[in-house]
Amino acid sequence: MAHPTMLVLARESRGMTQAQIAARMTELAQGGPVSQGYVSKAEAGRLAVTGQRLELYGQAVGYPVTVLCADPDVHGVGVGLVHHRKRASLGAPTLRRIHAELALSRMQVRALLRAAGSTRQHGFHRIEVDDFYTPAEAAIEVRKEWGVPSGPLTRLVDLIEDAGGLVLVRDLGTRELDAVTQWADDEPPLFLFNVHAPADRFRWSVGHELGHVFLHDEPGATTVQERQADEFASELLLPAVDVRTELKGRLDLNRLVELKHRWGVSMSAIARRAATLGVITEWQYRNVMIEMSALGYRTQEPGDIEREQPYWIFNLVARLHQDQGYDVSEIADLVGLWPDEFQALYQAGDAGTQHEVNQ
Amino acid sequence: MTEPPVWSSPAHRQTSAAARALYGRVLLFARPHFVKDVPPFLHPSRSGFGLCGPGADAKIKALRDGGYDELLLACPGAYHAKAATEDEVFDVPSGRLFGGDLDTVLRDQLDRGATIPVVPTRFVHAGHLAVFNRLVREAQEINRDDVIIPVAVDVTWLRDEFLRKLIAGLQRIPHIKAIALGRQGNPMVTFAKATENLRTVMSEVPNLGLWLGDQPTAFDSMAYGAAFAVIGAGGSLRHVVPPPEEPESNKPFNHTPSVFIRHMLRYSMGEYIAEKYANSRAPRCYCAACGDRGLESFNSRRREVRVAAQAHNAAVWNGMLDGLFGHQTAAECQVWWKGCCEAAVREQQAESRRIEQPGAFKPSLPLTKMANLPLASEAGGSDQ
Repeated sequence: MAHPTMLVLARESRGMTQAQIAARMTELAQGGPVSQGYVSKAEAGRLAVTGQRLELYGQAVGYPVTVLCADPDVHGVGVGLVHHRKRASLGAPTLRRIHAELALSRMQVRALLRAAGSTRQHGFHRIEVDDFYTPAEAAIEVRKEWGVPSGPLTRLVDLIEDAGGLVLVRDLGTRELDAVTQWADDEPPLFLFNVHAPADRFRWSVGHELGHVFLHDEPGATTVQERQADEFASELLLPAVDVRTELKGRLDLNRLVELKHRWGVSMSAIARRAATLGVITEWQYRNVMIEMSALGYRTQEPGDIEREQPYWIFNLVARLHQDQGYDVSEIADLVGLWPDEFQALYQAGDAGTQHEVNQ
Repeated sequence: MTEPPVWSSPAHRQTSAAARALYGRVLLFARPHFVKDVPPFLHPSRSGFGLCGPGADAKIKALRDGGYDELLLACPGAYHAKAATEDEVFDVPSGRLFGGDLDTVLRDQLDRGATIPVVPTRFVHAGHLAVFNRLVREAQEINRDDVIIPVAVDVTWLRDEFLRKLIAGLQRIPHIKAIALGRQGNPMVTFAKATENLRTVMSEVPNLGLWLGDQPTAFDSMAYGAAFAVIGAGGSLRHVVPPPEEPESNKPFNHTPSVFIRHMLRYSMGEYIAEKYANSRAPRCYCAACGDRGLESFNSRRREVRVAAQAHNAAVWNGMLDGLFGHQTAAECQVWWKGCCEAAVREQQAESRRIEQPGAFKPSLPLTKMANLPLASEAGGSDQ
């Protein structure tokens, strides 16, 4: 029998309305129509979804029925703090869809870990900050803890995975949200990043989300939390002591492109940092921004940088396949996906190659 | 807003010798090599004198030997030459068997006649958080309360991104301390919120003064909560150039002296004044140093003219101290000071029109801010 919470979660993860589910079920059933009222009652737990209707529901949302019948309490659905980096214009339905996708991703990764017999240890912990011990100092602490030498932080995703974090890059179906994280205390944090974010913004989002993970044990995307996460990312990616001297001199667009390649951070973020550290004046900063706008660089910056990719979860899938003899459909079944979607999401490339590229 | 200004009754609020000596004063600091004697026009109860830079300790000994017995300070000015590091935040002699410690440096100043010793702090660059933390920790460990600790920081520490950190750090230093701002040129013009945020620092940090500012910044600080202030005689002592940078005014050092114009609350080069008044009569100054002198007469690079300009500058703002301190409450003081700034802004515009040179005297960003920012009572801020 389907669990109402999972019915909602599955539907929202596909960005579908109750009416769309009903229409799809009707189409698949080739018999009596399924009404939106039926879906509504099913999701409210006022009627049991079993048998053929359950199969139809699974086909309509594109998940095996095992997902719909999972016990959300046992699977820890919705447990843990969620933070995200998004534009204010992002609509509530899209955000609900992405949160549902995050919850299901957590279930999928948990299933992979269980199958591999892996209890992933991690080195993430909360850092208390206040006016004196600032988010920037928390970033310095993390760099030290992770053994990052001074200068550019080239492999941020590798560092997160080495520290035990779980990272997935997905098509989140919007350009208005870059990243979302979830962390329940007894598990490693899960980072879900949007494949649509440009590589430089992607790295900033990684730093920003890391800031949330280390700094914030309270829910809510408050202005203070967002500012603190940005301060953390800024110091993590552009440490003041290292970067200040490099920013000196003529900071024109050509120089910004050079610095972008070196530090792996967008030109606009570098210019902002230069202004914050007083290397350029506010007037110079405004001029740089005006020039960038005129050239269309605020939406599409020049100077491509290499996109970082996660590898750990892909390697885990490869180990299940190669070492433990699971085939694709078996692993897909374990995680609660149809094989096609599983391959698209978890076997996007050869796992060994992924890591090699990253190194 | 009926509270008295923080400096109005130092004896009741502070028991340390440093507080008793400094509270409610605006001091004049000069380079030792420009000084023969302490200027006679210093306000007896609201000002004081100090020397800053190499040779300061020897010069105050000479002044004491000459019979001067008023408030006198000698600041090594280490922040002009050396940046602080996580290992070294104070500049104490190295390689000595004896006397290479902070306590000896401070005792030396007292032995030579300093009223209060000044801790030889180094400069803290923008965003050097660990260095700032170290300075705060080292300052906390100074086991005497008769010292002044200058905290020389890049002006970007006043930006919103670092402001709370700066305030929290200064609040952790229990001693008398003073903030010196670093930047080429006038630090207060660097960004729009500098004036507003400096007011916030002054109002939230107890036992804090302004170190090496200009007249408008010093008076504004006093009106908004500073315990004391220090104004430099020359341009190089009205800000700190972040080491190891060389002052841009030294490339080459051939400018005429900066001259304080009382009714405009601005400093202008002697050459600039002479040029603007080439076709009209320049303002005359009747201060204690000038007697009766046209401001265009400071258009010279000769040493004696530079010394005369510095004396004029200090004499003029010393003459304003009774106005600054003549209020029963902080709110009254702020109203008076805002009125001065508004009048100065108007005067600059009117004078430009009078000499038929639009924009000849353009109010600086900080002066404009001081004239336009709401009073503490209007902003709902502190009443200090």
